Amino acid sequence: MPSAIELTPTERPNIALITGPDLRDVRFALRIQRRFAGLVELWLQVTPSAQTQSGSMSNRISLLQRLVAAIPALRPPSGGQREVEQRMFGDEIESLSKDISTQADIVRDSNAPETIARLRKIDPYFILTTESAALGQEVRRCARGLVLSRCDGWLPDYSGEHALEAALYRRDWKKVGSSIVVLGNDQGQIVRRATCCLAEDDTPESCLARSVALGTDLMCDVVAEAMRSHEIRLDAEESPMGAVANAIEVGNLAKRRIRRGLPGLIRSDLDARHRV
Amino acid sequence: MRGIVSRQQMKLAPAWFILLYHNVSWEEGPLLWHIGGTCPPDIFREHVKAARNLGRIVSVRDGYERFTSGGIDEPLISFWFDDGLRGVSQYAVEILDKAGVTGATSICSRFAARSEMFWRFKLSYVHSIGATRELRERLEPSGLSDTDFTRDFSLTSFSADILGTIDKVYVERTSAATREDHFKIFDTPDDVVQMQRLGWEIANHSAAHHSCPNVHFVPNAIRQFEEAEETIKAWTGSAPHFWVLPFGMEADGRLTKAILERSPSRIPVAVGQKANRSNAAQPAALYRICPRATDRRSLSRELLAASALIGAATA
Repeated sequence: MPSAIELTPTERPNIALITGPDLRDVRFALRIQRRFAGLVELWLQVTPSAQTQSGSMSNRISLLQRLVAAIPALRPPSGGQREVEQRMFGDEIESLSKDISTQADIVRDSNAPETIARLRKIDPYFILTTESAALGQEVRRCARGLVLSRCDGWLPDYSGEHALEAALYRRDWKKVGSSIVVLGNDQGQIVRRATCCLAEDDTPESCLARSVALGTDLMCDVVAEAMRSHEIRLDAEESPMGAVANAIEVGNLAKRRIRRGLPGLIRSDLDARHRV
Repeated sequence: MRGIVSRQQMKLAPAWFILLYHNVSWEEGPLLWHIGGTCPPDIFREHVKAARNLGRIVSVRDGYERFTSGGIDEPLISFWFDDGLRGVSQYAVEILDKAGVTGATSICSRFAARSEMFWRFKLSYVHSIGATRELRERLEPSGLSDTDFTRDFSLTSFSADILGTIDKVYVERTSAATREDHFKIFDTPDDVVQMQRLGWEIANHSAAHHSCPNVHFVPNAIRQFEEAEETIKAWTGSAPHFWVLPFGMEADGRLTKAILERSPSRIPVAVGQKANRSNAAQPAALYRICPRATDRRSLSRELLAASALIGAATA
């Protein structure tokens, strides 16, 4: 297996960003713009409309979400995802927004022909994304250099939608993290993985926000290294657990347990790691 | 009423409170995992806000001027960062800039120069990769017992042998590329110069952060400070005023005394979890308060405790 991917040097290492609409994704885009000023030429913010989902089902989900939000007892004690991200990133996003050059273009479908046409128009060297699952082959082929994706969780041990919750449920703190993956034609290759610095009152929501914030820093480092050395080193570390944890189903009961016990557990376990 | 703190009780005494942090980062990797000291940027931002509600935030230079002139008539709060970690230039500079102040960063010259890795980080890394048993076996001849934690033992029983053992296990378990990669956790000399240009105080934290558990280590500590002073001066063009004691260890006050004897213009800086009072007799060293870096709510409590310690907290 190769330990690095060699890149063709370019005079124009321009960047296209493809993100979601959440605050953590907005912060991702703004931080990358600050780090690589002038190189980000396109920022596509994928915001699927209700119409793109199956009509009646999406209406039912939306109604349920509104009901849950309206009943205080059903809300997470620390607030929902948006409230947590507003508390963690709100001030920073406000400050970063002042000096960016590329605003978000809202698109409904990252694989739509018009989206692909916009990507082709700028002919990006890098496509950086937080939405790897939504990127089809044709989008991936639009990059002259690399398509890099930020993923929640410590790959391959923890992957998928519940990657962080699974690590939290197992109290596997070192693997509450973020991974950067090169998206090729098939399976991605892991470039960088790192562990989140947790806070004592963290919840699954704040851990997700931390994972994205950490992944943003990792992404910046990987892109800077690629520009400097024209190669990307792959993370060669073997995973002793393999993909066992992928199979973990984190149900609602487990989620409630994580939320209830997490703050006390983090404090005691993080203190315990100093006793070596 | 129990559990309720009145606005009056939340008032800090008129003194200079210096808050000590290490790294400010979203990441806590294997080099720091078993050592601790990383503060996530969102928590640091909240600490700055909390500090602003409790007193006037000032730069270290301003705080020191008011401290030495005897003109502290309100609580002053400053921010200090030890060990020269990268998160300081990456996040702390930006967050404090937004709050309108600068901080101080304590540099270990060999770490910034990438010539020697911090031995505590090597220790943490060795534990992180599961080589604890091997390390403990090799430290036994130096006196490590079954009940000792290597983290504490290596600090209090510090010796060249212990340093050598930790280094040997670290080198055996890492590739040259990994070791080179590990240095990225520190700010570079260019970062240090840039921070000085931004108005940050660059402090001397010795060449390689050796422990100074007792008087026998004082000469080594002074040599380490002198080496770092020469190196930092070559980078920044000026010799640091503040000499920050590694681990805050004062060796019963002997190290502070030795620093002042060698160079009266240098200011020793310790930890001590206490504030600096302007009207006290001129102290031998400045003191700092190290808050719990992963707890967003503890800062007020810790500052109030330090305020109460100097016996002048408003009741």
